[in-house]
Amino acid sequence: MENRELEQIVKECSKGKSKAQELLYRAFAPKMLGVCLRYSNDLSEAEDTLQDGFIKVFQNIKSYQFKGSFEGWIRRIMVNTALEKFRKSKNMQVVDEVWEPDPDSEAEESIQNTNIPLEVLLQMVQGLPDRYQMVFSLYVLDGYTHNEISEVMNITVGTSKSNLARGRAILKQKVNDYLSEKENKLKIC
Amino acid sequence: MLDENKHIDSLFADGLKGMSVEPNPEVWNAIGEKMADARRKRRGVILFISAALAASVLLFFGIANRDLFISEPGGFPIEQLSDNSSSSNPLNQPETLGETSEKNEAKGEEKGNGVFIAENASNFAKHIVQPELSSKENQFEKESLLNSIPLGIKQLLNASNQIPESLQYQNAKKTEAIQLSAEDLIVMNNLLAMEQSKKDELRKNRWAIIGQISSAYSNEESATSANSGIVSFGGGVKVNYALGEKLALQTGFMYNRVGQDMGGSRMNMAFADPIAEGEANEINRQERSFLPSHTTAGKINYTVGSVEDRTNAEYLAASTYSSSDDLMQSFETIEVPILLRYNLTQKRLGVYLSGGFGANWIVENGVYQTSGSKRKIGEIENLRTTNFSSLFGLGFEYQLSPKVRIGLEPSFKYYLNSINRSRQYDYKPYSIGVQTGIRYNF
Repeated sequence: MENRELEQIVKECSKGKSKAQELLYRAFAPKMLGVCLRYSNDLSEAEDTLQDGFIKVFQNIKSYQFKGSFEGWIRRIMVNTALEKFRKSKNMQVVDEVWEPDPDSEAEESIQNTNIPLEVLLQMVQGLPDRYQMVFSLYVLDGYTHNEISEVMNITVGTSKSNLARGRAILKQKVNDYLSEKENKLKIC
Repeated sequence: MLDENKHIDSLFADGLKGMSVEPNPEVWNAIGEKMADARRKRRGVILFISAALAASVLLFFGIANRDLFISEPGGFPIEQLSDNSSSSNPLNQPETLGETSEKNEAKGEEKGNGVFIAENASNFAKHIVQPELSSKENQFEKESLLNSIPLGIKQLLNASNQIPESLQYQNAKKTEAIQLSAEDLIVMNNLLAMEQSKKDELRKNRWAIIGQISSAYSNEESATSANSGIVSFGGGVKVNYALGEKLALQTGFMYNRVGQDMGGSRMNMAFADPIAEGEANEINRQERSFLPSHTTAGKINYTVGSVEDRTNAEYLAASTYSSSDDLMQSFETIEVPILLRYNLTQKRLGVYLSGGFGANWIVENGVYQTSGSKRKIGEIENLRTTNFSSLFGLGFEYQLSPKVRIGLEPSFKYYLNSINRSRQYDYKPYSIGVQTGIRYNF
């Protein structure tokens, strides 16, 4: 979608035109559902987040000043919506924790040249404990810093780092398991 | 370790960052519905706010009006609703708002819902005028009230303005079914208060006294070209009694003058000189000016003391009148008009129509010589003392203060009967004039 066309649609949306809203939705919904999926446990939950996120987009589109990427603006709203739902549904208990890496894990084999399908990667992220999933997605996939994560999740920077490390470790384990299983299947074949 | 972390991060980031998944079509449907709901809610909020503002304004004016009327001396009498059992407070005894408020509260404790209101209405709103009132002084005009009552309330009253049995205040149970909002009651109460206020105002200013002066041109219905009209001045006092909001009755005393200017007396009227026949008359005609023996109004009775025989041409020729060029007849009257006045508008500039009849008593009757100084030389004989005329006018009034108005009224007056008793003369003068004056209401 061209910038001029997008600008026109956004202006129409700010006037409450439902046709423009639908156009905007059609243009950004697939990518935003991808974002929501990273912060959800399943497709249904992600679609709920997407729905709530787009309603916020339409309700607040007048505040968009055409500065910066519109997609980035929508993405931010989707992430915030996901975080909000996470805070509400998980009733997150903030516990400061510091993760000390297991010395044995350093000896683990490096993950190289992996070819893991997208669905599998998504399932791995969705399979993480909620807090780890949030921190990992925010840090790795959406570029939040630990300071920002600590603010939006109301945790300390140390906890954010610890959750990230634990998440990574779990994902690494899952990747290794997946690769091992795949290798075994190949051997059997 | 650091490199390994970077590797695992990039493994997931590369895969998941650009991920696109087509959502279920139901998602958009749900979004559309929620947005529509939001729009409806927004409209609802706007409507609610508008209604709240309107109600606030009505409430404000209701309270303001109540204060206004309470503060007036004597207070605004409000008929109080009561059930039949409350014999201690009969309907025909008007009470002030404060009094009714207190008494109704007391009754509410004793008898429950004995008033024609919603339970949540304020005490002020609880006072509403019962459509059937026995008090003559404070009885409202039902039609005007019903026209101003909201439709919902109006439907409570049937076509004959009789209160349905179910709505009569026989006992508390029958009135319980009627639930009106406080706003409706306030509006209705205000309308009634305004109606009453108008009546009070009308009652206060029912009488007015009007002082007028007039300038009028008068002539006679069948005046010939030889007789032109005269312009005269008059004036008088009228009393105005307001019959209603628009209609008023007026009467009073007005001084008027009607008449004719008969032009030159050089009328060559041979009949004025019975002996002027023959040769002598032929000579006289060239030198004499003859005075007329009569006008269209009647026979002239010359009243100059030295004239013994007005038909004596010799005298007439020799007298001072023989050289008179101008004669005028006029009748001065005192008129008692009975007028109906209808106000077309009653704003600061009022416009009205007036019409009626007048009884005119001729108080002065004269024929005058007008060349040189004006001198009376005679009068018309056999006139009716009392004559009747019709009057029409279109007036304008400007309100200087609530009590004082100044006015201007072009008017037309036409005598209905000949002012001469003799059938030989049919003299019905008319006048077109302008009356101006000042009016004081009291």
